[in-house]
Amino acid sequence: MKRRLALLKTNRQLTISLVLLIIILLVAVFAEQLAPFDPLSADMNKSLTAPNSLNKFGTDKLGRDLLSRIIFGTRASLGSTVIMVGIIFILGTFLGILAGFFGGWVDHVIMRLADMMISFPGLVLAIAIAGVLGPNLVNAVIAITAVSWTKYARLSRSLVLRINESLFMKAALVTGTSNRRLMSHYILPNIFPPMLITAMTDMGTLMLEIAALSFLGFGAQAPAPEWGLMLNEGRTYLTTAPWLMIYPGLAMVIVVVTFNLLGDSVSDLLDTQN
Amino acid sequence: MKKWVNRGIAAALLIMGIGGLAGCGNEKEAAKSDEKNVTIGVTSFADTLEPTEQYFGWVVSRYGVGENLVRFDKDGKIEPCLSEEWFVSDDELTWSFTIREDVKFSNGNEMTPEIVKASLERSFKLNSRGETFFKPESIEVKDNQLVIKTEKPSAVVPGSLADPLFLIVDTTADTDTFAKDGPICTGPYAVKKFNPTEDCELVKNEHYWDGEVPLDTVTMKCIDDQATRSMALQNGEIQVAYNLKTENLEEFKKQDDIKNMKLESLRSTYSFMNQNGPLKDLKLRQALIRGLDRETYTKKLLKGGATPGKAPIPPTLDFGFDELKDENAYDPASAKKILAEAGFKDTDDDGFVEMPDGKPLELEFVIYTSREELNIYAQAAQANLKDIGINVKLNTVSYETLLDMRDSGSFDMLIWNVLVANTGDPENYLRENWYSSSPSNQAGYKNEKVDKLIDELAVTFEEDKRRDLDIEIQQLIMDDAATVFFGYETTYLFYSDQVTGLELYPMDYYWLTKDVKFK
Repeated sequence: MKRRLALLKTNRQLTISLVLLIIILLVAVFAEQLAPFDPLSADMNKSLTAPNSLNKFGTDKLGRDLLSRIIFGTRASLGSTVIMVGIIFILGTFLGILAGFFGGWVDHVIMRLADMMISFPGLVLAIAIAGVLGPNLVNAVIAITAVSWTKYARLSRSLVLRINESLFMKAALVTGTSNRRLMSHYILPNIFPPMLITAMTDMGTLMLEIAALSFLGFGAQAPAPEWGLMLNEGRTYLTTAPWLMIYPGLAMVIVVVTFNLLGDSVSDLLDTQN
Repeated sequence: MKKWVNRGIAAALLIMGIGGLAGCGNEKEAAKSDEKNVTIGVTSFADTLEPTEQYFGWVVSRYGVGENLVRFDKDGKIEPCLSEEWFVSDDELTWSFTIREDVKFSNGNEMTPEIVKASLERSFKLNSRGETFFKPESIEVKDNQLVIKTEKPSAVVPGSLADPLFLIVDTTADTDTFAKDGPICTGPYAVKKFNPTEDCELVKNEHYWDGEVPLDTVTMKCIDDQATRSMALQNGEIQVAYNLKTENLEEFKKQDDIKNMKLESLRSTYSFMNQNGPLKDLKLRQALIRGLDRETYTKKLLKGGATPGKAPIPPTLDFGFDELKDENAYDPASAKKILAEAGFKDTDDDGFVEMPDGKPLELEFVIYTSREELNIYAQAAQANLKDIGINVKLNTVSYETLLDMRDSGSFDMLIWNVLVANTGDPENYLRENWYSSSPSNQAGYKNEKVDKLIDELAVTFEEDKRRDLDIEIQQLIMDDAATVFFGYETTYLFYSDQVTGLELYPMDYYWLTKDVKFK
């Protein structure tokens, strides 16, 4: 414990990003307590009110409080990103290990599938998938998952191939260790750190992708408070009510920067330890 | 702080830029505006340029390509176009149109009465909407006259023939190419190249009958997104922008070289309610309409860019708007009461009522993208209806998809924005939307009395009587809570002061005319 605290003291970037992340998480969890208004209740007489003491970030076209919507938006944006990265991480790594460990036809099937997915431009394929499935946040997550797992599969496969050649693996094989144990006790611990770093640094990008899909109308649907969607709704009023774009944009910038900082520091940390 | 705000703006702009790029994917170099080329920013809904398909003839007419036998002037009065004069026989069954001589199509062919006849017959044959205007018993050619006989007397024959569905095409040309390459018509411009979602290049029609055409080429650039269209006008990429709204007035306040004009339009925005679903319950429809605060939508949300709706025909036309009694005016308390009385209760405590039989109630409200105000109406309606406990799910689609959805009847509510007096008179509008067997009435509305009155209207020639009938029909439709009338939009046109001759017509079939030119 003491050592960890010392680590935080010396590594300022890690500390700052962790604190920010915790704040963001708290905002998401306690959205109901923090938000001054119901994010969905519309008071149309207050349409497009500029930021003031009551509505600190102003109101949108239906007179909904923007601050409350941004606070609740943290849930949608953060929640969907974390779940999505989790799924991609587990799915991609698992398939990658299978491909690398067994080789042969398993490898071929998985990797050719990955090649297929990679040969499309990511966001365009995601738009197509979301379009076919119907526009909502869950389908947007599915769409981006479908195009993003390949990166993890390829990475973990190449890591596994390297480990396959190492002496300790050969020793384990000679002593007759079961395949399951080989994968879970010999391979996974060794490829975990680099995979985790990749996942951490990807958080920001993937969050932007979800926001992009929502912005284009393939993700979250009105009246849900979601940042990408809010940006799109505010676009019409860019000159007359700029707060509609500034604040959701700012929220997004802060969260993405936090994730990137964190990913950076974790990667530094694990690299030095290695 | 200021720095951060600026960065926020920069970030937001960046994200928006990326979104915009991904959205269209075909950003081209801004069109250079040399002396004789005008670029007009439009919203488009046409997949093809075949004038008999859906409402695509409107686009052909707006682009200055197609012309009709008659046309509407600035006051909505009928004036001669390809027909010089017309008259009706004493029994009110036979209409004779004198066809203008020396008119050539853009391919150089002469327009003969025979071709006019073939063209009109083609429109009736290919689009089922044709016969909702009037049913011709026969169309014949007599010398230079076109003689149209109707089964029953119909007062709206000349006005109907001004609808772009009936624009005159050269039927001796290869009609199969109309959809892709544009029809061969008699207007001041002809289609050179057509990319459905991108643009339409027009060139001057060398054979035009009504004087020299001032511009060599005109590009109609499809920019469906309102903000993008406004920006394109600001940076000079386009010289004219259609369909901008009140919120754009602010943007151009400081730009002296951009002028605008507006017209209290004859367009009505309403939502069909599909009676083949949960909305067949009159009580539910009444409650729904009473839940909508349309006055606030138009005054506050659209900033006065529309007048609040209650009846099919807007107050800009004198068809008794003020006399009509609206028993379903905004009244959320009574809406809730009606719902409760009709057995709609929230049984699972999710804040939304369930149907009397216990099934959850979720209404699908279909809207389309190219008119920004529709989104505002729909979202406001969704918020209002949530307050009285009705769950509405929005489904935003393209206009083309919306047309298909309407034709197949797959919706609970479906937004519609249309010109009310498209024949110079609301008869056709009423028939098309509320006559029980009209092909456009897929919402399942049926009131025998309305049908009877519309039939009566068709054979009535006397102005006062027609007005009384129109009022009676409207009152019945309102009493049946058949349709949600949101509002009647004001139309705006923004244009560079370099371009002259533009005009907003109450029947908005005419955008590019022979009068549009550079200063």
